[in-house]
Amino acid sequence: MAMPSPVLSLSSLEIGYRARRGRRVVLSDMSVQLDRGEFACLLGPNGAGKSTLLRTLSRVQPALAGDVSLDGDNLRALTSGDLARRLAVVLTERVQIANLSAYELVGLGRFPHTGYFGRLGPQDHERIEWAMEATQSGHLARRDVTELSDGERQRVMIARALAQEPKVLLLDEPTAFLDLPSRVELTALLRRLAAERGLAILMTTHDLDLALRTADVLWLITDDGTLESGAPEDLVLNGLLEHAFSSDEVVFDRATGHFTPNRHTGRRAVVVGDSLEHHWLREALVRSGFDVSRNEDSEGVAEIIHCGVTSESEGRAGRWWAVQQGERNSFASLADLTRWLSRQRQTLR
Amino acid sequence: MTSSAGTASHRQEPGIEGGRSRGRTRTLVAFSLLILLFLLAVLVSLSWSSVRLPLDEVARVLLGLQAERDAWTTIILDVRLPRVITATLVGIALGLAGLQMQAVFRNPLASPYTLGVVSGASLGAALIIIVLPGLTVGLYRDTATASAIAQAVSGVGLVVGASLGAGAVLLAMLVVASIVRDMVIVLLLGVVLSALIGALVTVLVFFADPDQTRLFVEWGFGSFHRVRWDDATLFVFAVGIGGAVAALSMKQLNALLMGENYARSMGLNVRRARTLTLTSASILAGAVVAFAGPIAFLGIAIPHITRGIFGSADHRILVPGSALTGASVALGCGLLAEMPHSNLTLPVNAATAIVGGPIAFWVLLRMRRGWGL
Repeated sequence: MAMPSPVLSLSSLEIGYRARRGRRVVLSDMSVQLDRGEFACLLGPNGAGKSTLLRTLSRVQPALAGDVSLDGDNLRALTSGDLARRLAVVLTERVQIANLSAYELVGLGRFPHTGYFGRLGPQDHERIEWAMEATQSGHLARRDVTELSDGERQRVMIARALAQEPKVLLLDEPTAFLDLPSRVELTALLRRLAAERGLAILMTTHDLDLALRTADVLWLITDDGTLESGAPEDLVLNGLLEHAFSSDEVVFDRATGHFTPNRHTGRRAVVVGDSLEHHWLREALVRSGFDVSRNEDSEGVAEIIHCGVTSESEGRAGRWWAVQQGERNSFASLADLTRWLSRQRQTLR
Repeated sequence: MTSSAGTASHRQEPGIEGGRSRGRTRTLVAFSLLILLFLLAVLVSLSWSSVRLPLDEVARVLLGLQAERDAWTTIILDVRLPRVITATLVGIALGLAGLQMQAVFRNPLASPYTLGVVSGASLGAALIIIVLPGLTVGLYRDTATASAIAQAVSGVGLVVGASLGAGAVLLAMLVVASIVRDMVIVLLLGVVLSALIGALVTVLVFFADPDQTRLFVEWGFGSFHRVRWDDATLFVFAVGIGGAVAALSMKQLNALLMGENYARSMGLNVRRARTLTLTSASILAGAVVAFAGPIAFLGIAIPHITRGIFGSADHRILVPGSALTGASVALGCGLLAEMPHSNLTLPVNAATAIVGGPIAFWVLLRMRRGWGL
């Protein structure tokens, strides 16, 4: 089977800024690739260089060393028109233009394809309609862009980028201002666009959960200033993700793929059981600052508490129970339980 | 919000077709009405003034036929027609210059006036009106020769001086705009620069002799009366260049709507587009200041009136639209200044402020709801 040739390929790329004296390298020695149809998320802590990388890939700023190849040609060698026909961007800046319909906004994306006066021909209209259908924003066509919600506007902005007919689409934190459902929807849309239209899509995001669940590939900025890529699961298993994001405050749980606050509280809660109620009881206890385990191993533990779910056959009042120093308490809700736990803690002090 | 199951139904949405044709009828109607309005404004301007001439006589003269009285032919062709042409050109030039500057600075308040371009042109004009005669007097001693030379220079010289002044300020603002990202600060710097240049002009006026001062103050009122047939060609030429650049940069102005970064990502050479557009704006503004004086408010108001009329942000509509609207509005202001049926003539600047001021006010109020361009 022939390997798909990468449409975006970085080789020994070094990026950063040229200062008055010398230069400030942000990331270096990056050699990664993105294939047609792949949806990649670029992850990295704040200030790690995500935006600098996107700016370099879209040629807003020059690379310090190394090469970027875009659809087979060196990025440096492309004319600005050629570049615009291969690569489109969705930026973080809010586009608010009065009296401009969503359709016209998408139409602006035809810029590199139209003639001197920017007249839209039948083929241009066809591409605009295609782009709006692909992003499910066709019903917004007549609306003013100033009237759109954040989620709607973001889809129209993606449609505008698609109307440019690029091979590669770069998005800078497109989900930043969206509510959770819109975020999930937008990410799913990008993934589908990549798979169905053969686009290579790279987006930066802070939403690690979403990236882990939807991206084909993660591009991960490591703390030694380079870039690693791989399937999300590979990066979990080889510990790179954990390494990149863990700190004294936060630990990454390889088993669940979640980040949890790192608290050495010396307080342990023992919960035995596997029902849905037990699962959320554990979550509530973790939130209250307990290490939760299934056994009573009490080494290095200052305080131990047993918690559980009252079975219906017991016929007692209260859905939840907690036993501390032999004394049993019942609670109607997890809110009552956690409130009681924090009161206990305050009296202990 | 749509689910993936909604895909099929979206394919059937009638909205996309609607988006394609949105506003097409309105555009056609608006252009037709504006052309009618312009023709009407021309005829009325030719007929109403201190002396009212019958409209049909005006039409006869325009068609080259014999008018009832020969004096009317002279009044129309030598006095009123140059005035009408001046007003038309001023309106076109300020409408286009304002539109170009608002697009490049991405600010609804950008105009030749707010960014100090008019003050720059004023300084250029002041140098020609006030300093040049002094210099020639110093050189020739003989007052008659000196004033003859000053007179000869002041026609073309005024245009060149005002254009250079306008261009210098625009260039400075361009440099400022490329360093300072925040366009509000750029605008404020324009206001400050404007005041500074104003102070320089005040100093020049303070030391000038009373005749030249009166000349300069009169020039500052603005007037559509100054252009004679001989100067008109130059004015037409200047506005023609500016208009041609505007017409050729409609696509670029549209791309700039989305901001510099998006425009660049679509393949626009932002720096070149900016330079070209602002050069054309300074030629247009400089020509207006030279031929008609520092006309206030039209530059900021006309693009907004045009956007309101067409309900569009598309510069392929706004460029011809602003030219047409500008011509009509300027003719209207000219009429207002003439005060028909009276022997009074108001400064044109008073008329443009009365018309343009409320519009600038309205634009500012609208800006609360986000960016108003």
